[in-house]
Amino acid sequence: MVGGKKILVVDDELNVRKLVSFILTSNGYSAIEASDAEEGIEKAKQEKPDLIVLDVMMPNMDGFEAAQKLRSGKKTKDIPILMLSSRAQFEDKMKGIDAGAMDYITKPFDRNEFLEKIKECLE
Amino acid sequence: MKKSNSQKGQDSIFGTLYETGKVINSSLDIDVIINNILMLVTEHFKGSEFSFLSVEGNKLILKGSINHPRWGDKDYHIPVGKGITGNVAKTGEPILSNDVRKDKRYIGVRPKMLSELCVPIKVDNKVIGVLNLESKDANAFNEEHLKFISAIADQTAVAIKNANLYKSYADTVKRLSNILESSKTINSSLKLDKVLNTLIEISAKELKYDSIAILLTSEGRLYAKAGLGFSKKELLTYNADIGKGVCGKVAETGKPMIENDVSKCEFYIEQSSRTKSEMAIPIKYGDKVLGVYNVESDQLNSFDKNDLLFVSALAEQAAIAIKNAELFEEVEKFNERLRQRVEEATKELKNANEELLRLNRVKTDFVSIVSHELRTPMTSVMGYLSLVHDGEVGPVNPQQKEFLGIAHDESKRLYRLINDLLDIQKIEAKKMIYLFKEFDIVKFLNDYSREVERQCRTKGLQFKLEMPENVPKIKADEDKIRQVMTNLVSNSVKFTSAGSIKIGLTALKDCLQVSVADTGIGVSKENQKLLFEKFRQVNMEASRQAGGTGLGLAIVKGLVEAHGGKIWIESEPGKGSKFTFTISRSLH
Repeated sequence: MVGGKKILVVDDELNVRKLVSFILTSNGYSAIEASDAEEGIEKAKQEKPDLIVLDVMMPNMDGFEAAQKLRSGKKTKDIPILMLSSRAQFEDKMKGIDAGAMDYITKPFDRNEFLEKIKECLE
Repeated sequence: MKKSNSQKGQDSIFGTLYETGKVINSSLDIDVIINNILMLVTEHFKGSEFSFLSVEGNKLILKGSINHPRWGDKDYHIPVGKGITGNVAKTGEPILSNDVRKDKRYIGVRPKMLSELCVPIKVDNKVIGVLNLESKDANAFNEEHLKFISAIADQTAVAIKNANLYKSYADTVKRLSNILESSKTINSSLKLDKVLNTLIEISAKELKYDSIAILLTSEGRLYAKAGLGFSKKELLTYNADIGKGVCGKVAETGKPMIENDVSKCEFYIEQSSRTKSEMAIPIKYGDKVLGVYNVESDQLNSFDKNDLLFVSALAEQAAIAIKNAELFEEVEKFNERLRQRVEEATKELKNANEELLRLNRVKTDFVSIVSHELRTPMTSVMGYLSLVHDGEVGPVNPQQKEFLGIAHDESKRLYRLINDLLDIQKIEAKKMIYLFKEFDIVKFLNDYSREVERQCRTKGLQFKLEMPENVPKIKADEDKIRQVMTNLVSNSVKFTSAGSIKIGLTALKDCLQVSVADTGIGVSKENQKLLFEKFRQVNMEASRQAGGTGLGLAIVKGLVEAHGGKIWIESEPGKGSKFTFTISRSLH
């Protein structure tokens, strides 16, 4: 029923990326990965995913900036973003939403809650 | 005119002269004197024009008149040497002309006039003006009239001389008041430069000068300390040897000097090629020459005795200022040493304080960074554990499942500890953000109780919620109140194996009071005091097993205090505990 919705996972931590991808693929989504924000933006343009799971704390360009770039990009502005961050403070969540994310989930995350948010973002 | 005058005779003329004398003594204002004389004299020459013209440079200016049609015209003037008045002004000799048409000197400014009588007014042999009578009749004036007007002119000259004398006295008074003004400056200012510059400004108002300088003695030389009419560089490099030049001589002898033609002064040393006259006054304190007050002018004969007295008075003021400044400098030096010592001590304190602040910041940053950094590996640990535990990557046997479950629960505890650490650090650094919104506590407790009821049911405990019906709405941060409640309730559930959990609400005048009571193990009196401190789990073993972090109640206390409230415990070991906290009703 989720039938191959394509989700781009952007996270510089290999193990987290792998974990997120596994959860997504074992729940019927197809996952593509990017290991930093720039690669993420590039892949978002090329692959046109249905959703982007975006980490916040990344080297060079952080998730807030990446979200803003994606929001202002012609090809990427309509792709929903779910922020996945180790920053759990209220103001960080607000910052994420302000940058254009649809929702925000903090690390470590509960698998079921995560899948619920993915579903909501894709609706 | 002629008839009436001769008939009236000498009496009237002497009467007028007597009156004139009184007029002259009655005022020191030249304009008033002239006007009064004109009025008096006109009485005798009805129908004539009578004027006073003063000599200013090479012009005769109309300064007062009866009947003169051009009176009041500021541009009206007669050149000295032209016409009858001009000739009188030039020669200093009176002219009586009874038919001006026959007089070559007459320039016909007033064609209708036929007779003219003009006499000079002389002060110290110098013509300073003329009195002039004109009439339309021929032969209007005679020799008697000439004597009479001459006598008036002499009296006028005396009056003008007196008035000038008075004016110079007035100027002296003005200078004296300037000196008085300067002494006020000295008394109100201890900055030598400021005082010396003020003195120079005062002297500049009164003297003819090209430059004014105050030079001070130092190690056998004079150095300019303040000046006017110099560039900054000129002033800085302006100095003189004591004993050489006008300034140097004055510094050496301690006696003032006026050289009204420097080209005739054999020891003159040129400072400026413009200088034609120079006045130098010693600045003395007792017998000691502290410096020289030097004025140079680009005109010859610029200085007189009055100027010398005037500047001498200023030099005395300068001497006082210099002495004051020396004293002040000593006091300042002492103050400076004191200030330095205080500054050093303050700096040490400040450094120590800064170091403390820095350490505190480092601690705060450290906690913040570490807790964020820990989240990433925690994500992997918990994520993968839960995947394996849940059989997402293949079957696990019951014992494997149990152990993986323990590992996952302990990871969760670690995660809670990280969150609690972050919270306590935020509370302590006063960086916690609160969103105070309208808060319906009755609705909140009703909703929240469902969760507590569920927890109680699992443990076989009874649950009660006691609330009054009408509770006012207040302002509070709902998430933080939930956090407080969750902590208190989980503690109660944790430490109560049988009996009940009871949540109560009371509305007081200035606060709402919420309590969580249990029938659990309780807390001893001495432990009650430690309860709200960090890492002071009273029952370490039990609480560790129950997954506590040791920070919960410290956080709760901070959150309650941020709501303007207090928290306390009433407990008896073995019988149970009751935690009560308040929320202020006046939060915004």
